[in-house]
Amino acid sequence: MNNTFKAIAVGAICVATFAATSNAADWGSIKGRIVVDGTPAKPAPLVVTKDQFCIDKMPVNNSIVVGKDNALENVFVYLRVPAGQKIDINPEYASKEAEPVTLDNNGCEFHPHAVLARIGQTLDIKNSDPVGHNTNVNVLSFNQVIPSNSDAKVKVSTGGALPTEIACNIHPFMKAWILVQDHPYTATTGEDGTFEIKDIPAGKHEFQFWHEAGGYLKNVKLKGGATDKKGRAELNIEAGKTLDLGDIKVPASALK
Amino acid sequence: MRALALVTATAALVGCGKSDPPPFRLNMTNVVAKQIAPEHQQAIANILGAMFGTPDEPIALKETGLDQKKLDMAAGPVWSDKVGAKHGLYRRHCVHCHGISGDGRGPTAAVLNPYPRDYRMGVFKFKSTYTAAEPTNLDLTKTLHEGIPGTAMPSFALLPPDEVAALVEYVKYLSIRGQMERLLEDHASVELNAGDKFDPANDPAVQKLVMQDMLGPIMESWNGAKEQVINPEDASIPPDNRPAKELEASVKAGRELFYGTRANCVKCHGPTALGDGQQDDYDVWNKAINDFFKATDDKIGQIASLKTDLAKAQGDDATQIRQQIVDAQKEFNERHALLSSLLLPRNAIPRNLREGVFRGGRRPIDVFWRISSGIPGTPMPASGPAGEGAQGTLTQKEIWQIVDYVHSLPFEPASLPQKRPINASEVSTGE
Repeated sequence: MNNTFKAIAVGAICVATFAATSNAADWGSIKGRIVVDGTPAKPAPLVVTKDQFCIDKMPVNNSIVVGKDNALENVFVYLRVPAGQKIDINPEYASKEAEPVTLDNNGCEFHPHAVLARIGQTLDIKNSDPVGHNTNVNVLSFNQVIPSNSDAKVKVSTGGALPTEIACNIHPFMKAWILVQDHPYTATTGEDGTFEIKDIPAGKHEFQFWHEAGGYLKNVKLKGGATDKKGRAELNIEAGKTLDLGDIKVPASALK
Repeated sequence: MRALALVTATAALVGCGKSDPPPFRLNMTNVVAKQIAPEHQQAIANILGAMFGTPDEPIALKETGLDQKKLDMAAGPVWSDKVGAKHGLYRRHCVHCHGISGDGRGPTAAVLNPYPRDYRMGVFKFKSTYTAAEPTNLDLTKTLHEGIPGTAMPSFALLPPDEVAALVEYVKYLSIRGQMERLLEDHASVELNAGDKFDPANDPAVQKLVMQDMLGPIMESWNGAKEQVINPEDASIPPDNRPAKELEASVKAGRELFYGTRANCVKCHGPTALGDGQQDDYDVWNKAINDFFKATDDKIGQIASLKTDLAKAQGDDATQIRQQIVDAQKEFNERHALLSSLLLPRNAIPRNLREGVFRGGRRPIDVFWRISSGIPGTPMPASGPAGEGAQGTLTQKEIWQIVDYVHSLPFEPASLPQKRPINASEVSTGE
């Protein structure tokens, strides 16, 4: 290693460790609601030709889901920890880490469509349908047959900076997205477009906004600024407080 | 005139003798798709150069555990020394399909189906290990030894063992290099902003990131492959000399699984086992190219809708949208410039099991491994466990039963060459 980059590595190699000391009062939260400004293009209807059960279920293209009052569902909002750094984890999250994350094949759709997992958690993949599926989770190099009314469990051990696709190869119209981080400060927007991340270490953090149709949600106006070219914004989390971003408007043209 | 011709001819001859050594090239579809800044492309090339050297002078980095002697034998131009030992084996035997960078884009790639393997994802289809694991040395040696039946990949069984070993080492070298390249691309794309330095030589934190956080897990996976081999329990393995009745019962049970909803083989291999089920999907290599084409198309629509927004916007908003249009147009142009160099993506077509041609080998254990861990990189899922101690969908006994059924398929009457139906009028004229 020493000669590879002809680096002068004499003496102590200074490795950045972020072990900020903290106590119970040093945690804050963030919340908001993401809405679409305008009318996004309708996602192309799914071509479903295999399995009468799936055809009858008429699954829809979930790549852009807009709910009541223009609420945008399935946006990934998460704290971005730069490569090589660590963040303090609130002890509140310890019990949640032991719980499995469930992904259900139901009605020839994945539920949820946007999945969050922490490294170390177990992903429990169920099939509630009367037909067989397979679940291909690329980020985990996992692809297994999941027969009707059964499940398969897989340890989540590899992640990435961005969400990646989950697919069923028997039914290629089935898609979902998974974000794997080694911290719990992640959220997806629900039917009403809202998200909330609790118990974040107080201080300035970079938050990432990402949607499967829009990719990085860039130049989106937030309280006191906007997201950058990579859909990120630095926000200040105050101890004991909740930073309420209110309504965040994503222009319809950002969702292709 | 004549003198000029002579000069040209001489120049051409000199040119032949002194052609530049071929370089490793970056994966340009990734560079464009991930929008990596030119200075970071250079940084990635520099880091890869420092870690892995060049196609003529490869480096067996200590942390990779690769063997420098083997790499030297496989790399570089083709020549033989005085005692007849061969050098430049990769360029002698492999490069015309697999390419200098191991990108599967040698000059013959375009006329082959399937396309030659691109090693740079570190994903290999035919191996003895669990789905997520790398292949063992023995797996790669077997592929070189047997070739891949039904494809353009020939057998190299006639090469001396040390030459095969050198090529296996070089394939691993190109894979590890490609996996590193991918991680460096991701890092540049996600973590770096224009103007940021990316130089491990002058930054210990970056050096740690590259050597430990990136190369570390790649090497763990390669070095741990031998512990990831799927060894079926002795009790599950059917004996070679089974009574015909026993084999028949096993084939029947395998048939039921094949068409049943638990193993669900029928969904892709089809009700006739001709591979005529699900044919709309892609393997990971073709999907990457397909996604590139699709995203390039999407840019056109995106630019159009931004222009609609621009017509309604004013002030700062308009300035911002105008900038977004410029950025999107630039990306579209970069994408478009690459399109003609790409091979058109092909769907993953499930194997026709009635031909008796098994790409990963036809021994019972080969077919067992295909069913148990699936075929990595392709739509074919695993029916066995994802790792030691995990829960598989099928038991080992059931997988052996499917192996028996798959082995029986080419010999079913329906698989044999069909006679032309006898036409009564032809028969009568014949007499």
